[in-house]
Amino acid sequence: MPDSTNTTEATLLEVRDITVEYVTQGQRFAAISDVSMDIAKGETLGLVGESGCGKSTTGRAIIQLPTPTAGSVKFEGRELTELTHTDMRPIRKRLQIIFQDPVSSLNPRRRVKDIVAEPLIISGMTNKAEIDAKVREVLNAVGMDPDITLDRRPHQFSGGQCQRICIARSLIMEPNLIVCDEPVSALDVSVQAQILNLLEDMKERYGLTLLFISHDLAVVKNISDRVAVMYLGKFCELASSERIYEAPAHPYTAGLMATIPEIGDKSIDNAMALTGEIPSPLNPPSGCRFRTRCPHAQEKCAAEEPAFSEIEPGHQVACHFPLLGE
Amino acid sequence: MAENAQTFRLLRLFPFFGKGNAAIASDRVKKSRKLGLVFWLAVSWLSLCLLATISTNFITFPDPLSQDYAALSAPWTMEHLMGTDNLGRNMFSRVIFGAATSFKIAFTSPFIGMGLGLILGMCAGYFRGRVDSTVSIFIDSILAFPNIVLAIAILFYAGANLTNLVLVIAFYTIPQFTRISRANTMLYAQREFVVAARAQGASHIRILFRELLPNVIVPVAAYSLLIMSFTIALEGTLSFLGVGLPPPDPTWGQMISEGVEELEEDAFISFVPAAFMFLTILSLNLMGDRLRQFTDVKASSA
Amino acid sequence: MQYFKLKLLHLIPVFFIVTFASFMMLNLLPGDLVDAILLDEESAPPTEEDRLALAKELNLDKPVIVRYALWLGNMLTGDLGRSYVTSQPVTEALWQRIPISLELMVMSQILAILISVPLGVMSGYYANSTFDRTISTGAFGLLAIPVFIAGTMLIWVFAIMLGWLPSSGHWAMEEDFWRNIEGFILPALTIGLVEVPVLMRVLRTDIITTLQEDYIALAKSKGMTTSYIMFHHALRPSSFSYVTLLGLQLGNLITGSIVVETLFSIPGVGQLLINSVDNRDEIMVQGVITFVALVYVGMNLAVDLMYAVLDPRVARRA
Repeated sequence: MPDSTNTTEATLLEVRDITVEYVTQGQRFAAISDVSMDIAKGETLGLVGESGCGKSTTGRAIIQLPTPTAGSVKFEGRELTELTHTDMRPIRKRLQIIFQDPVSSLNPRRRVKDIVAEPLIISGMTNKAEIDAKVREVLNAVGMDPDITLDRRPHQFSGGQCQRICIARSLIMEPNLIVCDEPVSALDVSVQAQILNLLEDMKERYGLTLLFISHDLAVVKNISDRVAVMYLGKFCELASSERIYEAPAHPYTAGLMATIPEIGDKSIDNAMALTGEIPSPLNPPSGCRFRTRCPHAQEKCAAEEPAFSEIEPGHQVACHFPLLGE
Repeated sequence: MAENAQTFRLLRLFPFFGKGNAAIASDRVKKSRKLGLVFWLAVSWLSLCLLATISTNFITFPDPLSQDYAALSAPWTMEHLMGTDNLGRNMFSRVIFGAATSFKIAFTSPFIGMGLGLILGMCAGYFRGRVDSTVSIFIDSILAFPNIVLAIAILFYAGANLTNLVLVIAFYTIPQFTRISRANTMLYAQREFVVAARAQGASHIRILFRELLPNVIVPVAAYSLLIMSFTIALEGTLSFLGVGLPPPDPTWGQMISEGVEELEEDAFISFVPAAFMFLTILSLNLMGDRLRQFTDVKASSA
Repeated sequence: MQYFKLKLLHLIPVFFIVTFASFMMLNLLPGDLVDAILLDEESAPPTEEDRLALAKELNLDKPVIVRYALWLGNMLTGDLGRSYVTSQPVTEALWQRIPISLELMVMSQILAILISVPLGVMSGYYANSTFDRTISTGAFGLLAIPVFIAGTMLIWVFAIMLGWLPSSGHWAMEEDFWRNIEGFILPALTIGLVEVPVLMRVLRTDIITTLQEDYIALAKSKGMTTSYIMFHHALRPSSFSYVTLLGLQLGNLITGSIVVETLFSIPGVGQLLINSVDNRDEIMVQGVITFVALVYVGMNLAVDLMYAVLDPRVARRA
């Protein structure tokens, strides 16, 4: 199954069957289970799903915070799950993350210059002039004036500016992969576009690869080369951006598409619109996890869990009865 | 650990600084950015006392121990600024020298307690799990003795000297500092900047010192003023009971205790040190309360 | 049930820590233990026989852990040793004084309730009025008054200036009931008064919350009188934190009664402790401290369990 993904380009990140389990109220539950994906160098993989489906957990499992309970994460051919925090340190330079809440991800008691320089200092750089030059360079790159910014503290900036600072901080190590965990969800719509454009620019300028996590399909569509859809801790569909928006094969994806205003009334049946509550991840339904909300659910869906298999080249679906046809 | 039970258990030790005081504080918040006149009055009083105490090293005050037999229980004169006590000792000198004892304890004990409390509380709040339970057992053991009884016992058996007094009182400030440090650490440890630091490869030690400590220390330091007032009250109580520092060095508690015998003849012997003590504790409470509101507001808006 | 078991299990290490600490305190004494206990400025130097007898009684020839076990065994059978100053057994001295301290504590709690409930209810009802602000300011001031200063001031006002109440002394209840009560008023008021600010403010906050409930508006719309609403509808649902807090004042009560018994010359357990310290009566001090610490641990456990019974969420959260 994993080999069937599109691996013509050099694969940067290879995720195989990762599971993250938590213990809540004495009960173990899997926030994500058996998630697999490949990200090729230079591509942007979008990861969408409703809140609580495990998108962020997936993103954090990739950067080993925390290390997944099971499965393997290979980055640049190196297995990360076996590394200690210390061994991980040199790799973290090339594997960064940007969070949803830019205000919360900047320490309110530190100056911008210290925040942005922190990764350099952790990696052992001591030359003050060199650090300063680098900090100025990345701040310029994200469109912040270093002279005004350096000595201020985060609370003196707007949310969008804070997110720029966060991006600067992740860029300073010149990473290869950035996990963007809902980077624009907490921002005003007008600012969202600016940050998305900035991410696109930076991608080009620094040759980045992005894992772009969002609950907003419209945002993901524009920025991603391929899109993965998650439901209750599992992948249900993975395809190129065009295919998944044109011809969603999983009923859940189709349901999500129906929520996007522009396409909602065009090709997709309004009956597809999602109804019902998301089941508790503590006690997921048997068989297919989506069956409780699926308009096409049949007996087989309750009895047997569908495999995540390819229905056309580069298009994988976990459904017994995928929606086919144009 | 049951947060509520923990809080309430601490209330027994610091009845003023628990929920009751939090309620007082939250009601009084006017979201004002100014510290207010009362705050500065409190600062002035404390500075004045502190200055007077320090000046005893440079300016010669009348000897607080020498007795003026010509002026027993004398009224207020220029020679005896606040009169004399029943043994003819200069009240003003005595009260200033008494302040020295109170301040020595108020400025050392809370800082020893704060250091240990920060370490324990931050580790408990950051690592959680087993570290948290171990710290909680340690704190419970401290709290198993009612504070004053343990202080009396230690001073009685090990000797009533300044070092022992400072250490015993410091010991009793640990639980409160631990609790505030732990709560604030837990609050900040959930913020994404901690995960971000982790994602950059920062070690736990670096996160504790560089990311968490600068945030946690602010509310803890604001609290230390309230703890200072607690230490002054505890020292006073021990001196009053005659189990604190032994005579002849004057302390406020001791002076009040001596004055009780003379309450009918000359109430001022008790009143002067009592007023000093009251104003000092009140000033510290006012400052602490105000500063805490300040740091709370900042923490929530940042 | 899990919670109760957990709490009781927790008691075991605490019990051993407390008793061991109390036991070891004697060893903090500088110099030779026997000399430290027997040497006294006033009395004659101890004979060799006295020294040997004491060494035997304290089992000084045995290792520490055995001594602790023996001491613990004696303690559990009610033998805390005997004073070397008054020759009175420690337990006997304690039994004489416990009822007096108990009466003082109960009375102080009654007075604290009598003062704090009306003040709390009224300042909650008239929240942010001049009355409320005055009371708040007063409460904040009262917080800055340690028990011993409060006691001194009360003596000065009520015993010396007004001459209404005695400033010291204790009369047995069997002898003269009213004089007994009279003698307890000022001491109990001293302890109670210091607790008032905290209790009152907690009640005030909860009353303010309760008064915003719909059923209070309903009661008002039915035309019930304000005082009826306050005491029949608002007070009870607002009193949970108050009652809990009341149960948790034990540490203050102990501090308060030690101070007040010394100040007002009331022959309670606290005075016994302070007198024994003054007389350098090492064995008596150890006995009293052990007793007080154990009572404290036991009462705290009782309060925790009570709290869990009153509010089942506590047990579940643990």
